[in-house]
Amino acid sequence: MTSTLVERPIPRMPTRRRARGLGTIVGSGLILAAVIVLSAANGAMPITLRETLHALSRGAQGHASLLEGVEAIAWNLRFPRVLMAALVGACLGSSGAAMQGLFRNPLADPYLLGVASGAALGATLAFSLSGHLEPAFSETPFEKGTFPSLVPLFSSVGAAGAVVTTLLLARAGAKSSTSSLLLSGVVVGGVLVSLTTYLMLRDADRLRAVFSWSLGNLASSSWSDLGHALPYAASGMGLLYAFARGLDALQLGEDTARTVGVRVGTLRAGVIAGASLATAAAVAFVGIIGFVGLVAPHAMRRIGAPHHRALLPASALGGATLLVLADLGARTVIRPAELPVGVVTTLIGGPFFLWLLRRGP
Amino acid sequence: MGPLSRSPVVRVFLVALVALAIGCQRDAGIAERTGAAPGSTSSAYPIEIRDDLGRTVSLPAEPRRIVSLLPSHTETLFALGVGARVVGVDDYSDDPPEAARLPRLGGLYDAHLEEIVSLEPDLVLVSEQARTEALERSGLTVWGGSARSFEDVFRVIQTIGRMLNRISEATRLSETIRKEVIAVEQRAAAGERVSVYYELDAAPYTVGPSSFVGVMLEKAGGDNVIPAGLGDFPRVSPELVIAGNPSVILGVPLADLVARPGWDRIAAVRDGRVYRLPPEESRLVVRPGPRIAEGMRVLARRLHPGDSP
Amino acid sequence: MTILLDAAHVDFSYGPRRVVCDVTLSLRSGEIVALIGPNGAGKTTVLKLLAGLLIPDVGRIGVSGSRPRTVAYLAQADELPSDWSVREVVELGRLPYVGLFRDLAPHDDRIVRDAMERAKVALLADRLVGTLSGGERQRVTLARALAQEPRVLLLDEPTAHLDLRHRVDLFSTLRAEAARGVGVVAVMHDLTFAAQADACVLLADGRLRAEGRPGDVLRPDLLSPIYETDLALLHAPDGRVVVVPGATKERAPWTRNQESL
Repeated sequence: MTSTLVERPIPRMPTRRRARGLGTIVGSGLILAAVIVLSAANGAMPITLRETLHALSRGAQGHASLLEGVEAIAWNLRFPRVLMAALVGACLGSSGAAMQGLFRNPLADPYLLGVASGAALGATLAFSLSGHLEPAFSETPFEKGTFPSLVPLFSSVGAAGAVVTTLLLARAGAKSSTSSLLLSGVVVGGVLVSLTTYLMLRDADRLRAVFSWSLGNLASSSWSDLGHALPYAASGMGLLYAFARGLDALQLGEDTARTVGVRVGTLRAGVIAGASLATAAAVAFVGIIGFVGLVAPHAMRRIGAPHHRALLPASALGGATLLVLADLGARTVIRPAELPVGVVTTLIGGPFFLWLLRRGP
Repeated sequence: MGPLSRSPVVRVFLVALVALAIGCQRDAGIAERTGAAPGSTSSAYPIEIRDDLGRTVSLPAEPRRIVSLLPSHTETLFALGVGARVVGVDDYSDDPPEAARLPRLGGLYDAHLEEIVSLEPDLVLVSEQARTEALERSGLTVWGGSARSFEDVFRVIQTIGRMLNRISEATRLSETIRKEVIAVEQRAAAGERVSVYYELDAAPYTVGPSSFVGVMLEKAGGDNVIPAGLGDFPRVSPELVIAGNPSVILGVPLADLVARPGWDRIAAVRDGRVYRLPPEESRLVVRPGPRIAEGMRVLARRLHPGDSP
Repeated sequence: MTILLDAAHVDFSYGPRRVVCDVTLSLRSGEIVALIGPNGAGKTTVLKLLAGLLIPDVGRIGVSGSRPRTVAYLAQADELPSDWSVREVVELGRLPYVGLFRDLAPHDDRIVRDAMERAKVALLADRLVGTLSGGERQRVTLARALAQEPRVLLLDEPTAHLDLRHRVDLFSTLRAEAARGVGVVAVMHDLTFAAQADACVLLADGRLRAEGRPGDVLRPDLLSPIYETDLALLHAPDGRVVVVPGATKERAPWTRNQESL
């Protein structure tokens, strides 16, 4: 019996699965590009596709100052906003995939370790301080409106601080590292949320500002914001990609991964660092947008290969597409008024996730 | 009675007497409901008044110790001349200066219940958004309401006046305010309309034309770039503001707008006609109280800087 | 015969609880060692110490060569993601050679194929793991371990989910590996299979109670007190031993017909 097995040639299947992974990435990329253009061409003000493309080509050539009217709106407002949605969606999608891989839990999302709560606390502090500091600074050059821009800085610091606190707390625990991390994340998140709520209620004037920030806001995205966010987002996602194969091995169990040569401690630290970096970059400029990080990896897993070398880029592209579409919805459903994009992702994401689950593996 | 009863003069006189008697009965009924004889200037206690939450508030006697938990109510109380009776105010009541010196009793969501009770007020004025059950359970008399539109301001002033036996003062106050408002409107009508955008929050949240601030802007000579139909406090697309190209922008500092993508092309930004109202001015604009005419003057000054205030 | 792996006077405690106490053993090339003992004896802990997953508190564990390329470990509980194919799981065994970034070369593909054949899962190569039975998954895990080209195989309860036929197959696979010079340490509850090993190591309460050839260790007088049950050993004509729990030579109903087995 054994001898016949040796003689029969085994068909080379790896290409099919690997090709599927590659195909998913390329396909998602193309879809994303189309969705970006579609989204840029739609919004509160009617702008034709031709005007949109004209604005794009002019702007890309550096002639942005020559644009007038709706084309100026397209280049100055629409494109940065849509591209920021794509970047943020990519960060959330890949972080979500990495967290799901690291914790081997399909319900993990980028905000697991308290990143969102930390960012919200930082932003609330920035908003509170901006009201109080302004009168004091009104005589100085600082009056030149730097205070709303404190929000990205404060929320990044808050996000990073929350993650570090979670890690330190987890180390003190006696349980296995993964459960420790999860529990600490929940505790830290809870404490930070109460602190944030307390601050918000103390300063009722800021209540709406913080609340609307926390629901996600892409409306004020500019080219310079994009430039600031890009290095952090890219480093975070790059770091995650470096650990892709390690994440694969981790799916066999921590012990097995170790014996196959994976340094699990380094893997954990690297993935958490990368995911936190990417997520903090996203949250700092745009607020807390839910569901994208949870749903995109699940959707991409069903379409393509579950290997993280394919899954991470695919989830980034899938998350980007999801958020660009959600932002399009937020801007057009009740135009010219807008919905907070976090509301749209939850309203769409919830049923979509349910549908994914019902379809089965 | 004899032959006199058949005289037409007597008959008319009797009919008039009966009519007067009936009329007085009806008036007495009104007095029971509103605590005031029509055209009279004093309230007849005890009074029952409905507040904006649909509750019935009973005042057995003229209130002597009043707590106000809304800045516009505080201003109204002082404007009606009963400021001396106010024993405590909320954290934001800073107008007039005497009010600022009173004990602070918390904000919209976190009123200091025990402190309020310890002041033993016989009337507490709150906004309709406040949670009145806790206050009532402590045995206090609570009136919940506020002006939610421009016209509503006068209704609230009258109601507070009735509760405090200051009806004539309330009427006089309302008339004064109306006269000032008309004066501002006339001056605005004499000049050109100015397109304006008023921002509440950087999201951006703004005011719709039918909101309180929206009506003030309109009367002060401004044309809101935000169309009707989006609600009173809509969150809009920045594209709408850019396309509307307002000549004046209120509520944000200029430096903030320059940083926003695409906003530097707006007429108001190019001309530098962007004003963040300082606190002493913005409170006049957003509080639906006795100083709305001053608030309108603040707005008018920004819209037409060349005119005299 | 080279010593591939050895442990010298190893102690290990989980917190305050001493689980392994003064254990010494060594594994030679071509040897199959059965690690036996009752539940809680510390067998899995010893295996994890040998695998390098735990660091001994006292004592030393030596490996000849770099661990990931030398020692392959198969855990007791199998954790395989259900949406992966068998081939993809086995390919992970090549990680010690391929590293985090390189793609698999044709050489690696050959080894993967070979490993799947030896573990008898070659026909399942493109099936999704979630569609396999417990026994098939066990063999997939073995294939992954073989793809590491190990010199040492450490198996924790490898026969747990296997039916009789596949237990036999597994053992013959292990024999084939031993014949190629691989050393095997397997934790076993099935004493009948332990009897087919080259050496047995008996652990109880974290201590070494006996080690040596199966005939020397699998004695009722040694095993009964440790397993706290009666047992009888029956010898088949071809020399194989069957361990029968809950029976004594006197109480076995077939004692009279012993010779005919």
